Amino acid sequence: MSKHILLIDDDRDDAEIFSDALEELGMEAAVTHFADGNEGVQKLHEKTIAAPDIIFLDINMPHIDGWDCLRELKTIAYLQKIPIVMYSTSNFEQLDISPEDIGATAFLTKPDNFNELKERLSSLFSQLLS
Amino acid sequence: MTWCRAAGDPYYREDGSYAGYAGFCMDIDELVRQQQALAYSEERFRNIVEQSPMAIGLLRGRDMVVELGNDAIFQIWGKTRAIIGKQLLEALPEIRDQGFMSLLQAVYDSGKPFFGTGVMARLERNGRLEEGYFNYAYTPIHSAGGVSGVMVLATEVTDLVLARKAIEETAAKLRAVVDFAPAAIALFIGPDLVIEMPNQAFLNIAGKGREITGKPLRAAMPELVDQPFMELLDNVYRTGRPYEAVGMPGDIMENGILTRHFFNFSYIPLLDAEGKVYAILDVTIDVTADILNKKQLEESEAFLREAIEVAELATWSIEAKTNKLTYSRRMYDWYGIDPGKNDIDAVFELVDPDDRQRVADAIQKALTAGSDGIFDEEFTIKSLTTGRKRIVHSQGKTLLDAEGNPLKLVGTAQDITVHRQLQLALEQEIQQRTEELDASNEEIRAANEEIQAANEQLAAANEELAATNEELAQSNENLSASNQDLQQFAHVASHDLKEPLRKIKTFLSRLETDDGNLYSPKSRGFLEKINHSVNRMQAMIEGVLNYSRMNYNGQKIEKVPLGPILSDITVDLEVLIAEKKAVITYNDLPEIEGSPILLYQLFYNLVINALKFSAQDRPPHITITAEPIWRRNIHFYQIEVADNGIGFDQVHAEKIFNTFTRLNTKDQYEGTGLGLALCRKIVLRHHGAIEAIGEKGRGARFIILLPKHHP
Repeated sequence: MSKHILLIDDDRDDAEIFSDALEELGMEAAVTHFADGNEGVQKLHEKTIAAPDIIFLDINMPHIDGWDCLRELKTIAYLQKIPIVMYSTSNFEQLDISPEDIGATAFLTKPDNFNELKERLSSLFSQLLS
Repeated sequence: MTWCRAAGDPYYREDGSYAGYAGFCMDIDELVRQQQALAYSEERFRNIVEQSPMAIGLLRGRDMVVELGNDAIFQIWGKTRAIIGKQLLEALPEIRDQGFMSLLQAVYDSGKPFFGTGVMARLERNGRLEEGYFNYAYTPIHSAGGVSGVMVLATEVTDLVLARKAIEETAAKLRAVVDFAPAAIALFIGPDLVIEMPNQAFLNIAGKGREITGKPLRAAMPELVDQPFMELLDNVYRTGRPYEAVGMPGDIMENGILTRHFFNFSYIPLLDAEGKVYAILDVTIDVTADILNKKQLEESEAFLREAIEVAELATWSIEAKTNKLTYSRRMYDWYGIDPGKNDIDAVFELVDPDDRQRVADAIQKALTAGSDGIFDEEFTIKSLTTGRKRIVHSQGKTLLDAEGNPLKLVGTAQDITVHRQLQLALEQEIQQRTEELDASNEEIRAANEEIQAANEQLAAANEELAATNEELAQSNENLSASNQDLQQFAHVASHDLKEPLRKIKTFLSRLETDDGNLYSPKSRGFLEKINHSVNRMQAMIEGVLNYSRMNYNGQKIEKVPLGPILSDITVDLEVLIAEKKAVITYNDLPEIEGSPILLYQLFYNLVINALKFSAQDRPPHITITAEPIWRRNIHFYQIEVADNGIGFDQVHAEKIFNTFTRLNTKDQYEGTGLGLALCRKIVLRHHGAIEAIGEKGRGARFIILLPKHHP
């Protein structure tokens, strides 16, 4: 069954790597990518895109960063039960917070090895998507 | 005599002429007597009522209808007999609310009499409402059918009551007068002199309360027993002759202390009808203050006389009108003139010609009405007999009469010749001393000037210093600002540099794993080199990030035991340690105050440094030791991290702590060149010091000094 996986990330390369990784994992997934947080939040508000099964949210974005984006998304009723993964180059361990503290489902640091990315995504999907 | 009742009828003949008389006669003597007795009794009662000096009235029925009364009662009521047959309230409407009706009806209802004494009633008499006072009795009149009325008996006692009230008022006034009299007044009654009617002034002088009233004087004021007063009083009582005293001393209790006072007093005997003394009236005035004032005055006068004598003053006076001069014995002696001479001009002759006019003018001025009246002059006189000269200081004041006109100028004079001579000598001496002082002052002034010059130089130097300080503060501020900018820059740059590197690595990993691409072994080697360079760059950026983060304030300071820090490090570096077959030794490391994260990094960098720069021919041996030392009363620990690695030339010992310093080629030993720089920064942040001692080929020792307590 096909899943709608939404990636909100301004980095086109990262979006490409992310899609490739899903493809290589053999996931039947539709990936929507937005170049900035505002656009993603607005489309989700207006429901002009299909409801996602999981959202990956970059932190370093222009206009509105990932943290503010997360807060906005948490105000949208139909997204309340959708897992949101903070997906960033930030070393989350240094932040000394847990995903639950800020209303996210998980943190994923962007790895610099493609195989490692595939492994991480695979493990996340088996946990979060049934 | 007998009383008869006769009745008969004449009878006539037919022709109508009188024929005779026929009748009967009845003895009615008894009946007549009874009637006469009743009438007499009634008459007598009426007479009694009429003639009674007491007002009597009869009131019939519960409505109190006036049935009978004598002139006296009508006089009291202020009415005529015309009110007979009227109800009392109708006849005397003014008594309605005065309570008499209810009393009368109570007597009527109960059958019991009521008596009133000195009761006031307001009655309309002589055309106006008058107040009268009455003694009266309401007596029920009993008949066969019970009480039929009330008899009122009354006597007007208005005059008596008013007289009594007048007497009472007079007595009260008198008492008030006595009570508030400034003189102490009391009566001593009988031979025991029982105190009666003491007024407040008496109680004040006696120092007693009202409770002494009614007590014998001896008992009430035992302090008088041994004083002459008792005997004087007994004398007055016995002889009936009054006694008066002026300024007699007496000791009385004042706040519980026997105190000497002075009194003017009169003991006046009061005589009864038989001319015998029954009491003594005591009128006393406390004149203590006057007596004491007088004594004081006498004392001050005596004191003044003595003072004049001691001060060797002469006294004098000049009459305003006559210019007549009088003076004391001492002045005669000074001027050498005849005591009989009162001529002021003769005395002026003896005043030094230089002073004469001035003195005369001053006297004239003091004696002029409206001036301040003060005379105060110093002048020289010459004795007429001996020719001896004296300097006198004379002071006086003009006395004024009741209208404010000058009466006479009175004053004193003092011989100040010796005083002036002494003063002159003293002044000369002072002059000399002053000159000496002036000279030394000049010296001091010169010295002062020098000091001032030096001070000015100092102030200038100070100003320069302040300016320099300001500049320093400014550049410090600039420095701190640019430091902050630098940190910001380093952090942002490092962060942004990491991004493309991460992507290069990711795409490299994809190239390596892309099965569609077949690389020659040479290309694979290139890929390997790219990867290696990227890794190095990543490590360096991480180092710069760490180094810049070091400046973030707000590191939590706590007690950090170094032992557990080292064991954490050995666990984290497990793989490298095993690979290098390294031995790390540490024992009894102390606890110090600091940031656990930074201290971990410090020792991590030092240990990894020692592992990295190990010699090829021997496994690394790293020893960490610590010992307490004291520097300037501060408790430090000197911690040494020693290894047996490749060491370094001691000439580079300082340089190795600089950023991006490398002593070895990258091919041999990898490193970012930031590890030891970070170490020094951490140590400095902990108010400590670090130095390195190296021996090329033998090993290196890092000596760290850290305070036990974070300042």
